[in-house]
Amino acid sequence: MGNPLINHFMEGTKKGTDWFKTIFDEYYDYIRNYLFYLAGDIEIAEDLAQDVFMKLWENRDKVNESTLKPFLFKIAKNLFLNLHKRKKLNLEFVNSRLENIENESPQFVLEVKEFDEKLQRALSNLPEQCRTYFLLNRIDDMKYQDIAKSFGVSVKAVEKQISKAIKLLREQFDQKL
Amino acid sequence: MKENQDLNIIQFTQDLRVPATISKEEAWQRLEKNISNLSEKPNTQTRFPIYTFISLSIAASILLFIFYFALKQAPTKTFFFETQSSEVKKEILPDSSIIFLNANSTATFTYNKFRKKREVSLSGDAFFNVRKGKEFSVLFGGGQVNVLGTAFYVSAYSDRFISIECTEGKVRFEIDNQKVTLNAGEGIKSFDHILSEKFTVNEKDVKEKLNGVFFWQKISLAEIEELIENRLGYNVILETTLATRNFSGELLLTSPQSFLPTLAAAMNLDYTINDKEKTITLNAK
Repeated sequence: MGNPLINHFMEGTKKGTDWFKTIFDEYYDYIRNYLFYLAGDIEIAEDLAQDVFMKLWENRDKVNESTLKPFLFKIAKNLFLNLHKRKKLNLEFVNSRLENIENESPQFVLEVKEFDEKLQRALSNLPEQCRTYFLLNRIDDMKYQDIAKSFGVSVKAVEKQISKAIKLLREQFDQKL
Repeated sequence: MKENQDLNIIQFTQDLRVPATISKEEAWQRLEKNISNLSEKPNTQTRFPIYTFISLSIAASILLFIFYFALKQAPTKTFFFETQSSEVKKEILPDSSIIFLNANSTATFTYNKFRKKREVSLSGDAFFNVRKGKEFSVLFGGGQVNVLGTAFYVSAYSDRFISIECTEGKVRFEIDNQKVTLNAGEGIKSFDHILSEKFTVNEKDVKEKLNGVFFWQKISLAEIEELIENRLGYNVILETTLATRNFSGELLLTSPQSFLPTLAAAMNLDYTINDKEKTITLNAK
């Protein structure tokens, strides 16, 4: 049957709120998370995600269906750049492992917490491109091919950036952050 | 030990979750409310081929007029322009400044904000001809350019390789808290956050970039690699030992086939192109 989104387009359905809701359901989490990886601030990410989808709504008749996802990621990046000047990033994720630790010694919990803090600091220090590709792959389960398509780069380029992210993370841990 | 650490890094990253202050359903409700407040969407973008800057400036006035009236009726906040590979577009801003957006690039500005503070964000390559007035800023990953009224070219596909070339007036360039002023005829670049010395540029060479023709007095193969990857979307596999070798001259960067024979001959390299996997391999002969 194929992708329901593509079927939707193929049928030539008018791009009304039903179409928009389908797109929102499919892509909102990716865009909001990507903006969080860029901004390091969830309130900014959520506000900008609203703006991204407003922009899509305003341009719905002009958007090329085959490049919808790259279009959303590009708008997200540009809105972020437009509104937020570069500053030191401080990503603060929720760690589900920490939430789920039970019946463990305080020492173990503290070790996990320390590792978690080091990792989040190291992730914040990664260059933008390898940070976002790495997190979209690891947290959002986006395949290399999907990331490549979404950002208009080759799969090899994605592989290269993710390898770079792992290498830099390893180096930062070696430096005992 | 190192393998265990890598495993932990990956496992821990997969345990991380992005926080949220509102649920997805609440986000949709907010969005639905906003779109219901919108009337019909406006047409805000106009395309033109690029031939001469003089004839375009006349067209610019007409376009500005249309653009301005379209905007007056529009509740739209943010404008988004983009180009595909081998495409160049001209866009007129509300203050009649002009952006020539080079291949594979995007630019955005927020209309209401722009009227108070002239700011455009850029990802990619663009030539700006800025109307004299209040400060005009171009924001890009890794820095920003501030001008009053001038003409300049910005190359900022990624924060790894940024180049600014000023052809008219004066440009203030800021990256990683380093501030530089460029006068007309001067350029500067930053690669891996290291700023080069200023170099000389001429207007003709700068504008030729809009036709895909790039001229450098000196550029490393690593910098060319970065430009190709971002501009053409090919992954360049370059021997590490070649990265610091410098090239001088002109390349037509519209496709791998358009520049690789010239580059390979000048640098004594062998090359292969895999269009299916979008890779280019460069090796020393």
